[in-house]
Amino acid sequence: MTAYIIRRLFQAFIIVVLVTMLVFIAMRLMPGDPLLFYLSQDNLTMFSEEKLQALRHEYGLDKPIILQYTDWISRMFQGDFGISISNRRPVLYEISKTLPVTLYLGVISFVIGNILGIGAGIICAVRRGKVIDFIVTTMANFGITVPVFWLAIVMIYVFGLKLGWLPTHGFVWPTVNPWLSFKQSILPVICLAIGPLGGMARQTRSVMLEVVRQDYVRTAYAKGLTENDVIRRHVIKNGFIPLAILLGMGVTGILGGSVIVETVFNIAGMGRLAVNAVMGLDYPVTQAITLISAVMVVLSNLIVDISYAWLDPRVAYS
Amino acid sequence: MTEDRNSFAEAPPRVSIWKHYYHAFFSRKIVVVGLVLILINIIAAIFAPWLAPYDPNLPDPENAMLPPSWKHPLGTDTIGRDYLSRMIYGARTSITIGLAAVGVAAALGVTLGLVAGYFGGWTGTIIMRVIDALMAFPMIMLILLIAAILGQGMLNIIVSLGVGMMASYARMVYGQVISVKQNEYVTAARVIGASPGRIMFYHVLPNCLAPVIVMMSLALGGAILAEAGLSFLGIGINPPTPAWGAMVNMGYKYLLSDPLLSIVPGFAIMILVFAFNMVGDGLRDALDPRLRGTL
Repeated sequence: MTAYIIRRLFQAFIIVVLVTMLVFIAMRLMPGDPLLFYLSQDNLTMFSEEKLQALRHEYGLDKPIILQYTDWISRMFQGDFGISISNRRPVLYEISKTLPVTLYLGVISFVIGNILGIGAGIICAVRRGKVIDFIVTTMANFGITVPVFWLAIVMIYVFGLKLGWLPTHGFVWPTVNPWLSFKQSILPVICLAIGPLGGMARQTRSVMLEVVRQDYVRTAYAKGLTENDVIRRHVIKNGFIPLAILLGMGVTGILGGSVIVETVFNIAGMGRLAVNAVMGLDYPVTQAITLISAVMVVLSNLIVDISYAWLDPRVAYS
Repeated sequence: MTEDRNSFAEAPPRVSIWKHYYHAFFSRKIVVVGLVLILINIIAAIFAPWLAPYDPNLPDPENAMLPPSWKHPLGTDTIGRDYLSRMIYGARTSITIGLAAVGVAAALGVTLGLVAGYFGGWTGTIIMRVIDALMAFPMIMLILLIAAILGQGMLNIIVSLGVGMMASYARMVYGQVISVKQNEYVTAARVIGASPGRIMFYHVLPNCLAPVIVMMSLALGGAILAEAGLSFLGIGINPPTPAWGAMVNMGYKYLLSDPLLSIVPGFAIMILVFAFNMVGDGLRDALDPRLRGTL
């Protein structure tokens, strides 16, 4: 087990290094002068050619590309992600303000989406071919089919504008105003959770259908256990192992979903920041966000893999 | 004569493989529904110039924001363009980008997976680790990043989506190639002096293709959804070419006065994605029942 964890940690480290390289290359491919990373556009036009050269030297942009890369990495380790081009604040400050919002909504959606999805999938598998199976499967298909931005707009129209029950946009922390925060979170959380919910329900259904066919389930029935006991002790326990791996993918989905959901609901999270950064050609911010989200995905996959090996010891030996 | 026939009644009937695929594919009604919906959209896309009652890009400010009528079945938009015509042309955008992006993704991913799996060693390790790194990015972030480098326009969006989606093909084909290349016919081809390229494309690739086709059909819905999301965010093909996602976004500003402007194109996206997902499911069940529930 320890050897497996060390091996997985090493792999994750390699992937993170490659991710930083890809982001670095991507940034060098962006149109425009990399000096924009450190200066605003107006500043750039004010400088004479000699001064620009001096600045280039100061920021290490005249060094070989490999050294530029290592400089960039070491600056990031010191928490220096550069200055945002659009508002000239440090990128780290922008991220520290927006990331908690995205994580807050993301974690709630992740938990709700996966719990409801797994529950729905189990119900479908147990009642296979019955009306409830048909209804839940159809709704799960809706969940993976519906364009999230459209669902958001339809819900804003119905619950916000027509019925007036819920606010149409914005975000406040529950510590500031718990009731408003709760009401504001409902629609974004539904939008973020619907995809993972549908996907998880479909996967759980097929995994559970596979498990109920196994001999040990038939044995469990044969020895006289009630259906509840069979499902709880044998079906769910064995079915959960392949599902654990899907939880890691859910993190990717929710981080991606935040891009659209935060834009529609005008929530000042990292997703909306990413869209604004890409649209405004704000490279330092774009770079930091893609890097941070990729590292978060690598870490969550690492956690999933290790817990997977813990749940099913055979994995560590293969 | 009849007795003779009866004596063979026990033997299973001979069913050709194509008949088997046909029955497995068409056995679920929902798959047929999906196929019909896709055909309607493809017809709309191909014959848009003949089907659309008006020029989709011609503004007519005097007739802006009209409600549905016989003259304009879906009304007109904010600058008086006929909404039905824009919807019909929007199908063209969605289907073209969806198909092309999946094609690019499969071509890139399959080639990389094939090369990595066949040569193995350092080549394979490097390619697959880069693929792992690509998979670490949330897809929409990766696509946004590539779109930011390339800029807007249809071709750039296709390439962004294609590169963003290629990793899963590479990983799947890699796994397939590892097992297929152990077969004797691959060794035999190598013995008679076939080049690596020939072995990869003539002997290995055809035996890895079924899951690729299934994955492509299942990815189409996702590609259309991703394109719609991008064009909703304003990163898509250049206006005024109609794209459903951008139309939802434009209508969003007029949600209270004219909700149909947003609701109609979004509904069309959902129906098309649903149709592609259903047909993808059907194709998976027909071509490779082992993959059921795994893709």
